[in-house]
Amino acid sequence: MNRLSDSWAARLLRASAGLLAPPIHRCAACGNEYRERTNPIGLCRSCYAAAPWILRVRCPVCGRAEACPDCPAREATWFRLSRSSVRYDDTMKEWLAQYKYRGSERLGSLFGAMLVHGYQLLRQQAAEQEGCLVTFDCVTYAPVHPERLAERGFDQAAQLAAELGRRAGLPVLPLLARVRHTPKQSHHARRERMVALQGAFAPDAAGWRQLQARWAAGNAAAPGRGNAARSGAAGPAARRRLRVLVVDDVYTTGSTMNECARLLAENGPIDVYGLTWAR
Amino acid sequence: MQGVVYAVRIRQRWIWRVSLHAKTDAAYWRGLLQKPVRMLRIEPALSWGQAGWLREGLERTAGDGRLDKPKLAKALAALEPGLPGLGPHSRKSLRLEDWQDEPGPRLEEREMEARLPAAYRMAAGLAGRSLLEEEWRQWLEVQQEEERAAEADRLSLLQLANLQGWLELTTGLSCGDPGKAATKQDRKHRCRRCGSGEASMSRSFCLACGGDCAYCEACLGMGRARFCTLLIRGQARRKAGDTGTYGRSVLGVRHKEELATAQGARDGSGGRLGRTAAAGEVGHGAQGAEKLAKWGLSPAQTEAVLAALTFLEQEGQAGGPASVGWRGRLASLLPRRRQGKDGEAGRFLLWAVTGAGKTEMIFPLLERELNRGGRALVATPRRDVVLELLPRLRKAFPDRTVVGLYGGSEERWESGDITLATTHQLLRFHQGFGLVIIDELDAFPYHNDPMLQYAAEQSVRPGGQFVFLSATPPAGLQREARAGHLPHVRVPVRFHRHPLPVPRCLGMKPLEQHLARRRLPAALRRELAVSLKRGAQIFLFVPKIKVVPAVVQLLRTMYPDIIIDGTSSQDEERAEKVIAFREGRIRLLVTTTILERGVTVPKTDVFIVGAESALFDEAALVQMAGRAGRSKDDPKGRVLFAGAARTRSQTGAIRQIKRMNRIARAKGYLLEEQGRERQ
Repeated sequence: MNRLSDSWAARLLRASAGLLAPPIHRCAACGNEYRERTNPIGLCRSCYAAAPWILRVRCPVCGRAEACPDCPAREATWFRLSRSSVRYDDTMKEWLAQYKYRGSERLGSLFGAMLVHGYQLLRQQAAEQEGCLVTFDCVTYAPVHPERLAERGFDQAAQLAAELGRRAGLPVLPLLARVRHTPKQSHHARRERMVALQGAFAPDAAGWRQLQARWAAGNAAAPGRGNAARSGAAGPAARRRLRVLVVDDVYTTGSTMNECARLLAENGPIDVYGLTWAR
Repeated sequence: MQGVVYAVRIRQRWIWRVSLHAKTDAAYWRGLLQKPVRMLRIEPALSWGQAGWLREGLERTAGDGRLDKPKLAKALAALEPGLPGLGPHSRKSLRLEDWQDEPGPRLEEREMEARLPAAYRMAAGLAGRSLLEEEWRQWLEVQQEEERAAEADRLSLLQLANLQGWLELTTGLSCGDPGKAATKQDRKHRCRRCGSGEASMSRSFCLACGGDCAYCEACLGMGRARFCTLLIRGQARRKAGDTGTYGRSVLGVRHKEELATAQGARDGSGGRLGRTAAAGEVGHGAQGAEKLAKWGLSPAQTEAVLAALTFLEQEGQAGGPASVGWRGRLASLLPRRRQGKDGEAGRFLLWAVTGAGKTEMIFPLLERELNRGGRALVATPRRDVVLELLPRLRKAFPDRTVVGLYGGSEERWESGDITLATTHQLLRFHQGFGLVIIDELDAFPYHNDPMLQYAAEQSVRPGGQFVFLSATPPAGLQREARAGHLPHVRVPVRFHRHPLPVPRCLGMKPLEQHLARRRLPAALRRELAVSLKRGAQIFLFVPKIKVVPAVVQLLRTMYPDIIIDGTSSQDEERAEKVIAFREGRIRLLVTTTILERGVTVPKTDVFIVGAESALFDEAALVQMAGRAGRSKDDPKGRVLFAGAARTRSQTGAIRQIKRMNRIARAKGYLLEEQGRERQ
């Protein structure tokens, strides 16, 4: 270190060099400073490259990038499609742990931004299936139990849903409530998970009232709107079905997603689509 | 966590306080004053952070005991809009109410007195610590069965200990200047645990506050400190053997204090537990050289240790910085420009060359602190140093408890006479130690991290002392030492009493050009051949991670019959490769500054290739050169700087090494050099 590095002249020089240099950004994941923006979600070059984005989907149902043993084995699939943004590899596990267990909440908006990629994958596939562009009526999420919410201080799925809703211009409604505390999912085998989830969720009354209000308003404003009036028939019973997007952080075997989808589909004329941050 | 803000009127003052457990406070004050007492409380309860903020504000604006209830309510209404963490739609509409008896069974005064011993034990266990609520709960888990009381009782004990002044209950972050400015711009948060300012804060919706609430990102890795998190700080421990007294007499003492506080200056910390730091009985004098004999130190080590002990002794008594060395003595004659503030921890720099045997030198310092009934902390940058040093410390102090702390350590909540910790663990202590030794002061992560420096200052007890260890102190400290402001001592010689190998310089074209041509310069190859011929292992440092593989490949084609490997900070097998190098299974290791410290192999030569790189500063060069000649069987390792230019760092490093050798020679520390001069 030389003595000059502390002098006022050197400081002035550094400060004025800063005026000419490109702005400094702080990476949303690693927190390091970087200058060159390579992506719109605020990651530095190496973190952006480190994220295992799902680009090619192998399982048409759940959007997994590898061969999927879970989807064919499921007795009844209540959601139409599910897509995820990234593979759940060690780096992503580390990121999620930072967020959920360390409480680095600023990662919530990053993950929400990353969801947009999965959202595009989903829209693409849905459009292929439906033969036309697909719009969603609302976003909802698989909430955590109030007890865990108090412990952690935030609901990660709700934060992801809020960020996606903001970016995609969709309303976020709390349609589900967690009524039973389920043990940590990651410790369970597939069969056990399905049993453990029975009765873990219930419809959330306030959220449904909002949904009904929207549904009524939507039908009044645009009865039989273009792509939505799939049944083709007239009358209130044949009104269009709603499309609801369920957001969660990680899709492992799909049992949580399926349980949420069952509750939604059984309680209303709803087509459920899934979107998770990692798969 | 929620807190109740309330006021008690004592002799012309409204004393504003926050409580985790309101019943305890009600019983405390009613029992203490032994007569009907006017108490007011604010409804509803607020988040712990908001409650603390409001209390601070009210203390400032509504402390006058002559104010009546409507006036107090007005003061409250003035503060309310400024309450942090309130969204526009989440008005709390605070009310000031007369505090009648708590609903439900009343906590009798007698019952509370019965709790005092348990509260004292909790406070004693937490002495010197700084814990977030979550950490406190983990700490509780490993305590004795009786301490594992029911939730309400735990909070009550904590609150009682706080009322007695045995520990401090505060918030994770401070926020602005409560009661002064209510504008958003003045909402500057500061982390009470790591000292980070607004730039390190992030905000998120918080259930307890009902709005946005800040948390500190800087120390997030050690648990999340929020604006509304409970932060528990134990007061410095009392002298050993002082068990304190319980019961009415304690309440009485506290009562007087509270009155004194009420009447006089509003000093929140008046007369707290352990404020008077234990003045140790006179330990080692400067004549204690024979006492040090048992540690088996070299003459240079002994002299340095005596200097350090003298400093600790003088500092401990007079409180003024001691002077060591002639510069220091001269400085002591001159008027002091920078005198340590009262109560500020003393600092001493032990500037010991690489391979001087720093570890042995800290033993006598630790012993002194323990003998005077204090506790000592050794903070070191790396986990492996903790693991390596633990058994040595336990062996040196068999009748003391030594605790090793690092991320994932099982002894996380134990406390001992000596705490050996990685630097980040400093965050969990508050005025806990009489002596804090910071090893490798200039290394990552301590150097240039204001958070850890703040944490270090927090961890030392008032009147306590720091000892910094370094082979290459940062420029600022060197300047302070030279000017005589920083008491210090130099250990200019290695424990084996041979001079440090002086680096030689060698010109070459930039490394990239040589790599492109797939050929190293002839002079460098000759030097490598000499080292290989004499049977030494070779450390070859390069400036950048990305050239490591290319250099390894090139060397492998040049020397197909020796085992060559490379590693860097991004290499997952680094630990294994370092072990292989130590064991001699790797003959030549190509690496970056990541291995500039810590790895010591008996017979090594050091080659620094691309030495002109700005990444190799003077300290890094000295440290890397310090890898050579560590063993007494091969003290004359070879060090070579090969670079495209002779930088200031290179000349500086060589000058520093030569100066140390010169001092060592002048002081007669060196063994007679039969062969004269190094090659």
